Amino acid sequence: MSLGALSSVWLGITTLTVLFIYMAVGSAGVLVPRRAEGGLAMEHLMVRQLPAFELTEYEWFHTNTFIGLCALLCVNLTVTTLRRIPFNLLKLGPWMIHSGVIVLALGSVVYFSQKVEGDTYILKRSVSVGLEGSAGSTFPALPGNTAIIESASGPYRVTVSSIDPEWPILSGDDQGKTAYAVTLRIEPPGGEAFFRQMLDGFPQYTEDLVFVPGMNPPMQRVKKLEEYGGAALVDESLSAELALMPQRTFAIKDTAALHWRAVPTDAPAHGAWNQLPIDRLPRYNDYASDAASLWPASGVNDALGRTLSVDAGSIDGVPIRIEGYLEYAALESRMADGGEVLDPTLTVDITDDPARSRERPLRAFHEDESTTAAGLVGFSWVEDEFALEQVRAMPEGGPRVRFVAGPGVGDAGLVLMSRIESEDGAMSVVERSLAMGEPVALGGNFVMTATSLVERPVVQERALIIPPRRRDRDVERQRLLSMVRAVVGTGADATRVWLAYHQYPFPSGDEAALGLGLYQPTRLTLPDGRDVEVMFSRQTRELPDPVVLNDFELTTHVGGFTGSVASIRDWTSHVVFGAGDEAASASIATNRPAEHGGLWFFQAYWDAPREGSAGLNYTGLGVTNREGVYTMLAGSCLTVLGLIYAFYVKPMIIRRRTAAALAAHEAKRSESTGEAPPTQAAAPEVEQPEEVPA
Amino acid sequence: MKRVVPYAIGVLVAFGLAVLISSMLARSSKPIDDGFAAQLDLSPLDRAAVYADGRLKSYDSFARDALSTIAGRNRIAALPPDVAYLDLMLRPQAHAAEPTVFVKKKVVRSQIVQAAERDGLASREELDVFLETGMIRDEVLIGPETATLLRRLSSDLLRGSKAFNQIMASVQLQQPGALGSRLRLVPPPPRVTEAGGKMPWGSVADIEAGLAGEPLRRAWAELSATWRVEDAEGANAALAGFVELLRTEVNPGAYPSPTRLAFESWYFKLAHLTWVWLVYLFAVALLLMAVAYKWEGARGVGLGLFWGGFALHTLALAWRWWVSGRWPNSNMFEAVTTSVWLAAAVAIVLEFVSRRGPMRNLFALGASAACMCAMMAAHYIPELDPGIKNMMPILHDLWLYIHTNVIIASYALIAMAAALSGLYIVRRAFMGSRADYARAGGAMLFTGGASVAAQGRSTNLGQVLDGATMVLIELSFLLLWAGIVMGAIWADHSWGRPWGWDPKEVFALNTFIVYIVLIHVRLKARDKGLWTAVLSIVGAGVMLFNWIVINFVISGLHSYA
Repeated sequence: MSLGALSSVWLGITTLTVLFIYMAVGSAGVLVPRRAEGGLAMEHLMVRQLPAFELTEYEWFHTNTFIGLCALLCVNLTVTTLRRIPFNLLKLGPWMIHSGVIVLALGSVVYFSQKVEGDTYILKRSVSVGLEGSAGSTFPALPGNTAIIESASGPYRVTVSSIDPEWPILSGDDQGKTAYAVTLRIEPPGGEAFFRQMLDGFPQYTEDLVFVPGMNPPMQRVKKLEEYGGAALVDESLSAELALMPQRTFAIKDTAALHWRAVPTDAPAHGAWNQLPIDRLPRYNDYASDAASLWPASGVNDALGRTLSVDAGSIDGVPIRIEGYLEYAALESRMADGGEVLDPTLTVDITDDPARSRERPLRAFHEDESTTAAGLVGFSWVEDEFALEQVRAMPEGGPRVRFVAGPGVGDAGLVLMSRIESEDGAMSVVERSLAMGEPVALGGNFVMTATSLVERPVVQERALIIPPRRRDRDVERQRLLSMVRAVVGTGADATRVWLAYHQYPFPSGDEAALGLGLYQPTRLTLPDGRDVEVMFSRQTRELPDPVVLNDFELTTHVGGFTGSVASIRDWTSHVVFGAGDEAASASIATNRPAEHGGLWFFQAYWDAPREGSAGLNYTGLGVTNREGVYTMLAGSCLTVLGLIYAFYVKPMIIRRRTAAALAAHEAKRSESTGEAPPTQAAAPEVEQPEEVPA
Repeated sequence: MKRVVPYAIGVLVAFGLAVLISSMLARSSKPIDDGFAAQLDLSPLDRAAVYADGRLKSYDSFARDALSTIAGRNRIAALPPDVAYLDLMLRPQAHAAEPTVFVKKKVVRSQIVQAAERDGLASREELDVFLETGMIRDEVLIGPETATLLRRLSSDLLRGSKAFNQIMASVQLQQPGALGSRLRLVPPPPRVTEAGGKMPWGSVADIEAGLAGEPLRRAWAELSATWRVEDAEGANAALAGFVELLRTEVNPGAYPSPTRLAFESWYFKLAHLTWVWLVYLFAVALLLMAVAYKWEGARGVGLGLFWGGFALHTLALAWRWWVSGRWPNSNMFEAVTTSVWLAAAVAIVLEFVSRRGPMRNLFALGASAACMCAMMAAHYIPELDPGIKNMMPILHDLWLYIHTNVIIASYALIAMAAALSGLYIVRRAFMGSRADYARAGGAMLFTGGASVAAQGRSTNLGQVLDGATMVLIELSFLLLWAGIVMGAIWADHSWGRPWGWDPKEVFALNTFIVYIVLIHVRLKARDKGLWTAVLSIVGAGVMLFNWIVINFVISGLHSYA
């Protein structure tokens, strides 16, 4: 391309127009006509989410196409400015604007090429419990979490019974203050359970409570009871204290990874995960290569029509590949064929709401499980015609509608018998063959459908694609119910398994009480016989230093927190980065981030009160870097200044120059001819104010 | 003196319209029948505070919010919201046979009509009214077919559950118990507030349980009893005593200023003054005549109307500012009304600067058109909720006032430029005029450089329209870019990244790109005026798409803006 073409204003205009279209399509999608009842209807299509693209917003704006268009625009701007716009006082505006845009573009290259954006949670406290002479346990202070402490006399069971984030201290020197209070329920071996209350920051107030029947209130402080002789604790050999809980990693937005760890032969898996990043994993469409891994549902055929093969690295040399992805699905256990014992099971869906499936299995050989709908619908298996005749009797008191299957019904496969009562009270049985999936109206808007018949059932776990109308938009947006189909190993030894998405790769099930998603690692046996746990989650990174949450503060408007965000004024996380002499404390609130070790931390979410928890047990922080921001800002400011100069300063310069030229011309004429000043029409040509400057 | 007369007439007409509309609205805040409701005097409640989600509202403002959930923009039994709230709570049986449930979505209304026809629980006339107003009796909704339909809606998370939740909110809120527990009238006791503690205000249910003290319990019981037997005189007396006790009995120190509460009540009773669109409409009509026919009288009256409309508009903003305690730019209603106010303020400055030039009247015309459309939208579109609520925590930042005002001002200037571009295109299309354009673009005309250079040349309306369009485009171009940069600065310290390709950000940038294209096309194209006008309207379309479609249809980080 010649310099002339590169300095064409039309090239710039064309590039901008293409960029406009590209950005609009990527951000808002397009409307496409589709056939519908009564003519054409417009359907909204998010182009970047189509199987051919599978791009997030961020990825759509970082494709080679987009980068190429931006680069072309910058080249066009540079060449045009250098070749076509003279560098003088009047043209300073376009020079500043164009230079600003190029500086902004350079800053953007630095910024977006190094951008990392993620989030992490920081627990407020952990509970450390121990017994003299035995190993203790430390676990997150979250309601319901439990630890077992072994002792010579047997196990102690310690459970976080309740947490009050704002416990008022009613007596002593600290009267009027509030503290984060954790109450443990302790079940000693062979003894009565008691409660231990610990106030964060006030270890001197730790005390035990016991249940005393007949007293008001029944929970009594031990030190007030004579039998304990004024001691504050029931069992002083059991130590319990609250400690800070450092967070060392953060999870990166819109990424995927498999996390794995070895499972010891004699203990449950615990500890750090090894990470296998998965690049280019789809997000918006379903992919499945194995029909036997899915339960029948709408969308299955679409998924089976798409193949996927993404390398996910290896576990100690055993390769892992991703061959399936479901955007919104659940693992479900159901009966499937493949068992050894004849145990005919018919799955029937009875519902008055097509959007809600209420399937239940009817097992012909199990009297208690062979009927449903209060005994009105039943299922029988007939081996021969004699058995069929017996079923045809349809006695009163039995089901009014009966599905019948088995060799006795012959080619019909499945027969539906209904007992009908005529107006004169006479009973008759109506019988017809029924196709699987054929709906049967039951009256009162209820519809019954036989969905599957299995002769020799075995319980299988497969993935079920949730229909779009039953999906929660927020869950869908965050991909919280997505899953991948991992193939571990190769050839005949390969193991295939669906892995559900985890928002964070929690180190243990204790973190499940956070309410931030699942903790369901999948146990696999590698071809060499070793057991590993695998989890599908996001990629994580180490923080520059461990971060602890000293305190979390909820500021509200008048009336306190009502459950609505409108009553909240702000959230503040008081954190400490690092430890020892290097420790740095910071308060992070909305619009008030903190920087540490090159990363910025900002308030992202919080532990809101919910059923079973008063909340405020952790904070959620966004973690990101911002390289190149000041370069971008400089470019933007230069552009703004250029616009002001071009639009408002340049005209003033022209005005002054024109006035000066007119005055000079007039003076010259007067001097040379001694005539009257020239008319306006005869004014000399001065530089015409051109169109706007760029 | 004679020259001032048309302006004075315009201003007087504007204020005359304001008085007329205000008195009509004041009348409409009274029940229309002659019965019990008409004899009630709820004016003491104008000074009563109600606690709702972290804010102390006037009772009237609270009742309007609640009734909008129950009945949308309809009235229950033709009662004003403040009467209807208490009447639903104290005399529910009086409304048992009336349509009190609101169904917002028209598609759902049609579905309910089909189901209700099969159930046979409603007459054809009743269903026709329902299709029109969305109001239906709750009994109709429990017919088997209709109930099945509602269950289906509830389970369709993609398309139905939102509509179902809206209907359920209407049904549940109108239950006397729900109305009583939401009506939080009693401040917390001094021992709580003086110690810096916070707790929600006590509700009517608390009063009835005696938790707010015996005097209040007795006063409320008296009010309830007189209301239930439709003793208007007794109810008025009981109400006055009850409100007085609310302010003085429990915690006078925690009670908000009665003056502020009264002004909040009146702000809503006067429909937040959004009817000022009518004043702007007259201004548009007269200024159009002034531009088209160069009729000086129309110009004066039109400008007077514009100034009068602007004064009323300013009053509306200042009123809301004082009542809410913050500059009004934190939700869609406020952004729309404030943006055009900013544009009108800019137009007044531009009119002053160009008062002797050919562009005079055009800025006032453009601003009047933009203000008329925006205030009409604020008045009639239910999605623009005028209720005053606490801001989301993220909005408590200085940049809200800088970034948002700069951006919305640029949007309003874009709309003004589009109005003038529309005029230019109409002139070209229907008046067969030439391909005129201003030889000197935009601000060049203002600073005098161009006027000196263009001395001796005559200007026609096409050139003037094009020039005025460029003045507005240059200003909006600059403000839009500055606003985008300021938004990036705010996003950087709020969300940890200056730019995240959020749809709102992308379409703000796309709007800017349209104007970059405009400016460069103007450099190269032959028919500069036409290209400018067309692209100016395209830019306004993209801006409106960003404001309407992106906000209401495509979710993003700016959904509150």
